[in-house]
Amino acid sequence: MYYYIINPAAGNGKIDKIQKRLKGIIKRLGIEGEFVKTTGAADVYKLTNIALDKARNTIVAVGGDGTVNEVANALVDRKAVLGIIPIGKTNSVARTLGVFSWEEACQILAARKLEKIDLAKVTTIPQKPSQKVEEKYFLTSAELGFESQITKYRVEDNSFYKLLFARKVIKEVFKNHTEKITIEVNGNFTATTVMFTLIVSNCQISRQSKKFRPNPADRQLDILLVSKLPRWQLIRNIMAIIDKKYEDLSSTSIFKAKSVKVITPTPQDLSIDGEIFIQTPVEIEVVPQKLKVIVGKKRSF
Amino acid sequence: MFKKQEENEIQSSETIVGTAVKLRGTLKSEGNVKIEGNLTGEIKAGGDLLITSTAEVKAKISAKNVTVSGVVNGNIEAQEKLEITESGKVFGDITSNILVIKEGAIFSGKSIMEVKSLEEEKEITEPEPEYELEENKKD
Repeated sequence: MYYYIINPAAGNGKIDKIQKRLKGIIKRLGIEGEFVKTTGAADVYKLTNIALDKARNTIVAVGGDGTVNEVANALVDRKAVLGIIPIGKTNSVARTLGVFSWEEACQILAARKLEKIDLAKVTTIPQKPSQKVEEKYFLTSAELGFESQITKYRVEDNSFYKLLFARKVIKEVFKNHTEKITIEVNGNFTATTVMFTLIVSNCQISRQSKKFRPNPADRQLDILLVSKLPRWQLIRNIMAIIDKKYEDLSSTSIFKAKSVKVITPTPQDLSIDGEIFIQTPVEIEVVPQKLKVIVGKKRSF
Repeated sequence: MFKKQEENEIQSSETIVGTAVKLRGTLKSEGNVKIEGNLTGEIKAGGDLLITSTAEVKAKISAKNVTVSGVVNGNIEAQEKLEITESGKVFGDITSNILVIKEGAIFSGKSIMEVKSLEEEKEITEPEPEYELEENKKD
């Protein structure tokens, strides 16, 4: 039995435009189920747990990366399977799993090809005994510095919103988003720099990126650390920054890791899917084969 | 020309240490590695290693093929080929099967080339023909 969790705010209310057709296709393919709508991010976790209590075996996130991550968090160590109907502003998880449109997603759900994939887990490192340890799983990426400030405005299509996003990037890029950072990778080495941005990723982060393509089934995280850039280089590379295609910049470092500690002199906001979650210092580790997902033939791993 | 070659190698690098990064410790990678910044410790690469002209490395190094265009203080072990380019400086002992030192490069240390002995090569290139043994048996 399928359980569809719809985020009505995803993709600027895209569900309102497609709901009738979506339900029609779902009925035709014989994958009907219960439809529920969220009223906020916290709802997704609660609704997923309600579905699990009702012994639903397939939970379908109808939304963007944020909705998918919330469902994934609730499915950790549970038997149910995650399906995706991508209607968000960013759909990098769906794309990595080979789901490129909501219409195609229905066919993929009906075909029900399953794969086990890795999750990443971020844990805070308390600086005082009174501080609580917080933790969260994610499928996509954790971001620090410039990207954590800008990521909530990101859109993947070529709509009017992308133009607004480009304007926002140009405005933000010249603000002082630099901070000294040390990352400790696998306990083997430390890398220190003045950071522009840091991305720790489990899934592909950019449609344009050809070289930096994290694989959610390789039991590793991919780290992209961009050091401070001179102003002229920021201007020259503005299109790469808009497309989140940092790997060609000379100030970029790339590592693969099973775990990474992120340490900054002062606490910095770490975002996961556009939401500021916690502040540094944190430890991020890969948790292999933690989630069962329905994938398409064109998946990237 | 050389820049183009470097760029091609960059494209296939799994691990990159950027120009403004200081790395301390042991860097292990199953794939190709490119160092553009500052590294102190050890490098163990299963693939090729490229140390660019901006890099300063104080490390014990082992990799399949090694190209040095920056400064290396430490011993280098290349399973196949070691190349020190025009801008490269190596202060340490080196071990490789093939060694290329370009004009203008600096190398100060001992070089060991792992060359197969003549007898080993003969065994590989001239195996005993099996049919002769068969004929001997018939006689």
